Amino acid sequence: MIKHSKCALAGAIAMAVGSMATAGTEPYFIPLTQGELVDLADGTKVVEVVEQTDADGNPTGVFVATDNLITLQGVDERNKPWTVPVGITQTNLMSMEEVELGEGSVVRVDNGRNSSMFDMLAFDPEGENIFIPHETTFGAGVSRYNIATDRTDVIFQGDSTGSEGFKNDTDFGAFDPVRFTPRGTLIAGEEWSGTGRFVEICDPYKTPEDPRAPALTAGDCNSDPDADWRVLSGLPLSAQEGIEFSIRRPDEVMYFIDEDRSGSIYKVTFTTPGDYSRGQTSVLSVNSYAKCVQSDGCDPAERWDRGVTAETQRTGAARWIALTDINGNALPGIQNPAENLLDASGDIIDPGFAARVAGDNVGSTPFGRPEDTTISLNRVGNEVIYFTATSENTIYSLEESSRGPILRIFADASTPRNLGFPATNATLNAPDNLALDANGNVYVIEDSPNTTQAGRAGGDIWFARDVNNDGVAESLDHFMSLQVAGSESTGMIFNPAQPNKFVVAVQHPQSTILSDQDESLSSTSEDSDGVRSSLGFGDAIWEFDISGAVAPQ
Amino acid sequence: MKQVTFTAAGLAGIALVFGATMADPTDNNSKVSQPKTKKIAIHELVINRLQHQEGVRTNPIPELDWTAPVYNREAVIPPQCYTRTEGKHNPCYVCHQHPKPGRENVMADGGLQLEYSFSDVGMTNHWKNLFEDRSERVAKISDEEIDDWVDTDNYSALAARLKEAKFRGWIPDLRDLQKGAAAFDENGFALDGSHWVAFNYKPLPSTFWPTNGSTDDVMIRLEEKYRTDAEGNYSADVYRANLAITEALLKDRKTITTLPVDERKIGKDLNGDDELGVIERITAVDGFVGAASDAYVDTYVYPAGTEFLHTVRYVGVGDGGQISVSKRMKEVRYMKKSRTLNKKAYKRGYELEGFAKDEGRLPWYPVLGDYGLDNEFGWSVQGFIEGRDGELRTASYEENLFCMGCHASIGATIDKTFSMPRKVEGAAGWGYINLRGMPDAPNMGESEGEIATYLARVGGGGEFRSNPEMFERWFQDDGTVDQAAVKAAKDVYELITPSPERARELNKAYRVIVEDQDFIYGRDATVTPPPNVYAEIDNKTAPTLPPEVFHHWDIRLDWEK
Repeated sequence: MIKHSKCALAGAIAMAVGSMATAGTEPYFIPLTQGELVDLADGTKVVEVVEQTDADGNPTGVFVATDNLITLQGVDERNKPWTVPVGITQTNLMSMEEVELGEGSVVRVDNGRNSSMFDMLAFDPEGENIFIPHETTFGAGVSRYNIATDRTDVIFQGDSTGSEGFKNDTDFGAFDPVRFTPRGTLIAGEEWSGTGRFVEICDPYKTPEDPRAPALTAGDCNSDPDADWRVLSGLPLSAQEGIEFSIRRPDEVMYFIDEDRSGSIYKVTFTTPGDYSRGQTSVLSVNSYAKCVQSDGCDPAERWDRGVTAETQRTGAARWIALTDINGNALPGIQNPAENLLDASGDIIDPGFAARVAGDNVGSTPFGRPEDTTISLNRVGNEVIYFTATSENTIYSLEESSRGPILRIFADASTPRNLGFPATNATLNAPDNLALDANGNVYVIEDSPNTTQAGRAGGDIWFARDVNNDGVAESLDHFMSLQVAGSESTGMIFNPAQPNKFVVAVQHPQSTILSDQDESLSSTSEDSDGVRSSLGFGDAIWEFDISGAVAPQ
Repeated sequence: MKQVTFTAAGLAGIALVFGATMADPTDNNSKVSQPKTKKIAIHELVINRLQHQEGVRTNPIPELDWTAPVYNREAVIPPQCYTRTEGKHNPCYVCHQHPKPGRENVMADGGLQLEYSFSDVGMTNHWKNLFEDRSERVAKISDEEIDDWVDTDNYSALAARLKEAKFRGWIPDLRDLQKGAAAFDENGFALDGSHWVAFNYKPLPSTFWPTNGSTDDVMIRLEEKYRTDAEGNYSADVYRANLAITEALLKDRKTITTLPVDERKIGKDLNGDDELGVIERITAVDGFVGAASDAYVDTYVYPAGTEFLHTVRYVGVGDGGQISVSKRMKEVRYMKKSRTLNKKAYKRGYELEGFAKDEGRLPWYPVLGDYGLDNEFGWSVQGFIEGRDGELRTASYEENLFCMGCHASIGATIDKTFSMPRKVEGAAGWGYINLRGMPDAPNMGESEGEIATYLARVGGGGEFRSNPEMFERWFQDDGTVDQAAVKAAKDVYELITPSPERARELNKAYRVIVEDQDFIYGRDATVTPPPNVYAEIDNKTAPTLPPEVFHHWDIRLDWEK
């Protein structure tokens, strides 16, 4: 039997502001034991009924439910969208409703519940501002939420011409990762829409009157004081997810990934430290897989789960293979990773983004949809890059050891859940985002619900327990469960200045569609009165405080 | 939350149920009866409430989220997918196809012709109505009764009922549609000035063949700017031209015939002859005209604002046994394209669908309230279906979910539609549906008639190979198609319409389903259970089709052959 203690937390977490802990801890909370609500949709949910009778006592054929059906509903998107461990609080910081009915601005394009698409959040180093990338099909942008003033403003956005195709640098699509750079600028990356670009916003604290790219000044953030933004045109093009700067060499090295069923892991070593516009791009190649490629068994362009690739080991010793020279020039025989191949209509030719093609050229190791990274140090001070491979239901850890990179499976569906605690009925399903607390604990955020029956609610967040810090989790402990229809959790990140707090976004809930009074697919419908569905308030950011978490003894 | 309207008697009865259990404790002679409770599946409560619903709005369990009481989470898989192919009969090619160059549809599900890939839920055939023998109940319905039923107008009153219910979705705005062709002029333009335009198309094999139970019609309407000139005034010439251009773009034609268009009223040379005059062919299909001249243009997609109205009806039997659309409507279906996106966005939509499948997630579509469901490819899809008394009511979430299989997640469609890609080409195709005189045109890339080809590939007149009339008319004793007979058929009407007797049987069978209000169990008008249907399919062990019966297929037709 687990004994609970409220006082064990302070010692257990001991979050040191500004320092990077290098080892994981035991869970400081009592893990959940249940995922989302049992779904009613399989039809086997039964209700008790009676048959109504008329005045003469004859049956009318009408059934009257005696169960209180409303108790089956359960989800409270406005007040309690997550189930959390005892003692952890959840507070809504901001929402589309709040912004759109009040002051400020937030990115919204005309695309149903995908109109705003809050994605991977970023804090500034002071923990005072949260930057929200918008993963919209077109018109992607970045909004900034200031915690103290409770105000959101769009600081950069494309001009939405991308709805008809991205032919120039005035519009952007699907900003997924956003990161505050060591130099104090902001980098956003296009994921599946747009052309796979990195965009640098020179002054993330500026609130332009017109945040659309054509109205701003494009220029070199390093040398042009008037510049507002630039496309980092020397950097590789891929379905960007998970940008992370090196801990040891933050101004020199950046990691990123390519979200594809044959996606790879990349590293850029900047030509000039602090200038993120170009550098040497390398791609990860696991030795065991490389052998398969060399023997013509494996096709690096193939999906991770097809052909010989599916049967080939993709963990163990690895190396970085250069795709370019230090100035970003493609090496002979390799596609320039910064230049997409286009057909006559200007569309990107399969297999897609240039970095992907370049990686295939050198036999990079494919993974099943890498979707996020986080970076930490292990006990011996080596950097460890964690990344999710969503289709594989796996989280990998890549240790940059002195002997070269070593890739391990950090956690997957076979990892014990709630080890040493009461079991949970939740399972790891589609790990997407990652987060890291100040103690070096990794959190895994799903974008999919637990069970194949559900399909409505938003999935779970797991605490990956790696106390011995060997790059392999001993347990996945059930941390949180999101239950809002049609949504997913995104962008979990701890506040660097208040490490007992973290934020998570609820992305694309049905309530992003304006109004259940006049639910039209188009938010610009003439009939739309902008009234929000009473059930929710659209994409939103929630803040969690773990300082009151009841710790197990 | 929308409320279901129960009858006053019903509401009073709730009290009576419990009132009847109250006995006078001082009366030693009184009988104490307890209400008899029982446990039923929640979807059975749904059906029960639908059977007793009054009013036009449908929300059988208002206490819960729209999606909560769904019985069949895989309602997107239609009954036809559970046919026994016996390793040789392939009706699957009509829906499941590999991507074609340039199209927005990259569902890439052609492989499903040769393998089963159902979810765990999908491996069970939830369409219970396929296994119901209705012959006894059908026998009790007289021909007069069903003719009377089918000849009743249940459409005209719908708009007023919806307005009274403060319905916010699309309200039928095409007057006299129950009259069929009589609601339109000879070119298909609605006589009521609503700008709906009917067009002639070849029904998709084979569920929409009248011989298999239903007739239908389809109308299109383009957004206002496609009907107005640069000054914003309605222009028939602009509308006709933009309709033709829409068809040309959808089918990726470089040139198309059109209803007569006066280029002088548009101010553009549309046929490349360097003159402005009245023309009947447009070659300038790379842009719209009038107020829509700067609208986004792309092949294989409709412009934003395009609407479709599709009625599904009984099989009307007229004088002399003529088969036509009935007055009564089984369903009124509506879809509107709120936005058009570049093809990359569509590709992403399919990618996400694939990811969801990889992760074992079941289909789910955002609910737009009175506007139906969002198919997440730019279309809202809503429908009306018969209530027990035959009056049309809004479709429930699950009844609407059924639509998404065809209008969201199969590889054969063009911008999620069937009828426009199959429209009789160009000018000749503008007008109310008329199967008489329609040739059995082959599909693009093929040489034999589509119906003739289908019959041979499927081995029957429908997916379940259970249509005795089709066997009798078009097959030989050895089970092969009587090609001579098929080729000798005058037109599509002759090939795919039933006899009056069969029409009435099918109508009666559907009437029984309406009585039961169990559409969630299926809507196929079967009198007896078709023999070639699986109740369960195991992805791994069910017999599949061999590669040699895989068929590439283009939904478009080659009307020139």
